[in-house]
Amino acid sequence: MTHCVEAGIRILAATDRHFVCDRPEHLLKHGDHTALSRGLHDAVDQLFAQSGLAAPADGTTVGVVGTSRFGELDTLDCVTRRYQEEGLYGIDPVVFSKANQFYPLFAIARRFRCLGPASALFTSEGGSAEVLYFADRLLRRGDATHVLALDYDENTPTGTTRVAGQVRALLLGPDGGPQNDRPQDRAAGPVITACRLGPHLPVQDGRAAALAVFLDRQTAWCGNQHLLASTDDADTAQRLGSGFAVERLDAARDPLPQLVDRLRGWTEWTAGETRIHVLPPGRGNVLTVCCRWDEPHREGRA
Amino acid sequence: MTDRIVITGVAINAPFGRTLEDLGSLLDGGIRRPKPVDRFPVGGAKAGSAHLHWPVQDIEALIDGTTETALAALDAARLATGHRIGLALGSISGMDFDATGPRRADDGVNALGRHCFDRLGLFGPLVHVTSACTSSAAALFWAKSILENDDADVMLAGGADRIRAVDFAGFNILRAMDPEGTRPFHTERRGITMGEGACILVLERMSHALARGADIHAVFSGGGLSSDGHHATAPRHDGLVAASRRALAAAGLTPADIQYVNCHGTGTPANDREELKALQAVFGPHLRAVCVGSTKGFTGHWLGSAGAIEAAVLLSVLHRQRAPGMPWLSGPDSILASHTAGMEEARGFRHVMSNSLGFGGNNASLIFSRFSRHASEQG
Repeated sequence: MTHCVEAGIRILAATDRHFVCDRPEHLLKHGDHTALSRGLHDAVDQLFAQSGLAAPADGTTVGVVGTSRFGELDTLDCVTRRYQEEGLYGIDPVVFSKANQFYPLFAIARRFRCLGPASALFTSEGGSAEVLYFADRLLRRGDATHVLALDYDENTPTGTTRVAGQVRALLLGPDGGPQNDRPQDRAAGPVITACRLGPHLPVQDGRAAALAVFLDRQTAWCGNQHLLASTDDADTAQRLGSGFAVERLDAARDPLPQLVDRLRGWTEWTAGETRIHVLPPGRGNVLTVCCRWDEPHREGRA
Repeated sequence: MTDRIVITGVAINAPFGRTLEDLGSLLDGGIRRPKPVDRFPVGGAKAGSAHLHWPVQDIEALIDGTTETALAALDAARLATGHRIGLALGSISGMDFDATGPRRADDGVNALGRHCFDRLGLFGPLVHVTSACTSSAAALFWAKSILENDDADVMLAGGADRIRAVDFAGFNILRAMDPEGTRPFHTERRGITMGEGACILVLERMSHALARGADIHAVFSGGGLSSDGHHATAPRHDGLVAASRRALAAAGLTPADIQYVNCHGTGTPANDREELKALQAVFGPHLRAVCVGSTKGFTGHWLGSAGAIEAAVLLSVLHRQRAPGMPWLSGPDSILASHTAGMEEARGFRHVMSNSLGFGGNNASLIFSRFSRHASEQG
């Protein structure tokens, strides 16, 4: 795996899938804890199909890192209500065992035999970009040969919130391996050459100063820098973007799949390496991704 | 030589005390009986006792207690809050979601991490892990990874949890709680006793620690995570085998180098059986020379924060050069007796391991090593 450090990490494939919308008939029923897992299964199914990797040859080297904001809270809500209404013996032990934020990752690990490192991370709006960072770390450390980076949220009709559900998945793998020959690689992916986790931005007023400090520390990285500001504050984004090409992400959507879409879309106007800073909306860690594109790939696009 | 990650501070917030010395006294003091739960109704529960610590089960008590613990850890490491200090917390009860639903709708699962971070005035990365009972072990693993990538100078890492009524009821319904108090590795073990508290470690790169003259408790040599993909609640040994081997590889050690293993050791029939199988697979003939134990008979099962308090146990073992016993076992009652070394004879602890297993088949293994200033200067 040492070649990975030099060669970077290729994004093999990506897919996303929406399985609910905001109409009441699409809301999950209480306790319908299978819906989220089913959505994830569909997404990962497509992912493996697109990447050309039918099944991992050695599942113990395939990691799964996932994030969610409200993942499985509806199951916990269901268990809590049953406990309140019917007492201890109202709890269904099977449902209780699934009222666990790791459960969706377990379901994926079991079905697709992804038995490498696994972790469920929940860090506000930064979470969905953060999984890229931790997937990158697992690959570079040699802890995994491939990592599924998952971003899932469910429709959570709890007492006071209703959250639209969505599932995203990415499969990251090392550059330089046999999968390099797969058509999907040439068609789809930039190579992540570095991935940095920046400061958590907890206070809106302090965001500009905080990000400026972080960016100052990294000015030697490369020439092409773009700021993806998924903040809903346009002024802040513009202020932060002084000296950068600034684009706004849709703050209502998860940054991770948007980041991948932008990476693809930017291939025409990059020369060599590109550094991209993703600023989360609200709260979350700043993500910096440094990417390059292979020459044949750029020529193909042109 | 790669800059290693070291531990320069620790703080505990638990019924038995706040410091490593308090933890050592607990481990020396024999069996500590859980107390009847009076914080919420437990009608119908076969096991009605726990090691309660927080005054109420409300999230605010957990946030207050965890913030206090993190500040104490910084103080123990002689550090002030600063821009390059991050926080990695593991917790399964850290969401602001109680019996009435989420009280602050924007908090999601990571209310604990987010509010502690704000109150601490930190300005590095924030990571909140909720991976069942491996949560805080995984938080330590990720904190190490962030430091290795130079994305922070210092990481506060550990876990905090509270016993919620719904979890207490749920584990009773799963028949995973022992009414007589947990007895890990006992032939007649029947399950866990729940516990709660917070434990935060201070991690930093060795060069950073040496440059500021910090006291180094131990080296965080390696960590490994895995998923066994077997069952929602039942563990299987091969997942833990993979995590342990990954941790050994990351530490550059062999099984023969490890002198003590703090098992997840919940006291459930399935967990302890599978853990013993995993130990046999990882250590082979060397297992007879390894001290193996579980400290959940002293602390109770801290759920998502168990990995953090058990990391503190590793620090205690390295510092005191003494492994905690398991006073609830006598020779014939132990499923370990004929497989592992006795605790009393053991000496010379240099490399020690802590294992965690969680619902959903996820596993974590951490290795700490004794710090030698002489070796670090040579390195």
